[in-house]
Amino acid sequence: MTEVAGPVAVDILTGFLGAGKTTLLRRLLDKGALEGTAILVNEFAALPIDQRLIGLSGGEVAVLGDRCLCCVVDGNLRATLVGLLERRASGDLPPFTRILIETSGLADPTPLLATLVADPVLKARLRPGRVVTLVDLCHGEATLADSDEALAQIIAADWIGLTKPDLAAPGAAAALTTRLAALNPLARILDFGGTPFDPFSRTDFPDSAAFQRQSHRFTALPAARIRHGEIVATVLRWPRPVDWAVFATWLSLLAHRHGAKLLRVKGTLRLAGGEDKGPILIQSVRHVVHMPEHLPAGAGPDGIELVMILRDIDPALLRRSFEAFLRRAQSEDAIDDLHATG
Amino acid sequence: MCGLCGSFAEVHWTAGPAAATRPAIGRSRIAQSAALAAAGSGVRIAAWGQGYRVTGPTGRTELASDLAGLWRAIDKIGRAPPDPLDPAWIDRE
Repeated sequence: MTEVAGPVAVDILTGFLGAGKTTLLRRLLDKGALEGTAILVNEFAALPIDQRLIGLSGGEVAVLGDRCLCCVVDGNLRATLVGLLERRASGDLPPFTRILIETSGLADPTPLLATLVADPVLKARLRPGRVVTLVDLCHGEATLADSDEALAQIIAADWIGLTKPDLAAPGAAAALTTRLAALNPLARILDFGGTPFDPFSRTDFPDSAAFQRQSHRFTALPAARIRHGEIVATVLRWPRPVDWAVFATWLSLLAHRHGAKLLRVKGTLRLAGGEDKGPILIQSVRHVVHMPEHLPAGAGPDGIELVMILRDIDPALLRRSFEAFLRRAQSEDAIDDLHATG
Repeated sequence: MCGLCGSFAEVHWTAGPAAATRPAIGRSRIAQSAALAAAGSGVRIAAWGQGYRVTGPTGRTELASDLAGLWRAIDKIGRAPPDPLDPAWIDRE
């Protein structure tokens, strides 16, 4: 048995048709950046896939020269993932340390994330990694206007890569960056057209450190300006550590009542009584909530800082609700303490 | 399958990072906190076994395994479903 300790990170590469996903994969393969990575290519949309990249078609897994694994997913992603893990455990496949899934250009990545988080077999052995979304500078604006899937790909992204700058009109990158940052202020937006860049590298950009940088960058943006149609982003803050039960109560009730309007939530909170430990990372993409996890000690703010991307929710009302409930819970605690000591 | 309200997930996200070490204390605190959020719906909430017991204004009870199930139970047997974006909920003292 060759079992690698800890859950395997699953990164997702998405982006609309022709955005350059296969080109990026090929570039990373050429750099040797995908060593120890199992690559799954979702072929729903019959993309013109590079045969050298795929290695084999028909759902078989191939070990390529640079020791990455590739296969074509025929639609049953769950079965493919379970099969990969079983074959790794039996020693039939090399002990890959991460999985990279290239989605179809027409796919919304949220159901894939839901499979990773909710499936009882997979969630113990896999964990969601990064979502990287590629946007073609020539057609990005038009695609966003026409397609719900493209919007979903932007909202789910941790990183957004702008591609094909050589074919775009002057100023296209700046205009699209402004629009994308308004839709998803959590994502880091980078130009993938120039120097080869590995958006999946943990060495260059560890996840938690990247989040801290995003958080600080977001702090500098006035919430009122982050607006696009009916989609609004805001940040909730609380200056002190909080009781987990109080926070979980408020967020779960909000999700229960208005879940379809919570497009994305990401942030940290520090637990009362756990100030010596690191903060808790909270994140969700639409209805998919990741299990909360501790970040290293010292990271993040002292209380709560939570970025929320909303559809048809007034951010001022949301902030008022959040602060009112935390204050109410705090005063209840103070009354309990008085009774306990009195 | 929904990650937010999925009861087939063994541990719901709201159980939190301390779920494995102090599950009973966590449930008791969540029951208190949920009762505060549901004030006005006429329900009583208690930690019960591995989950929660909700008692409605008529004495009818429902069991829930996590917070998502708890809100569904309150919607079912409570008087008014709590809504955190309702100004009356926000301004309640």
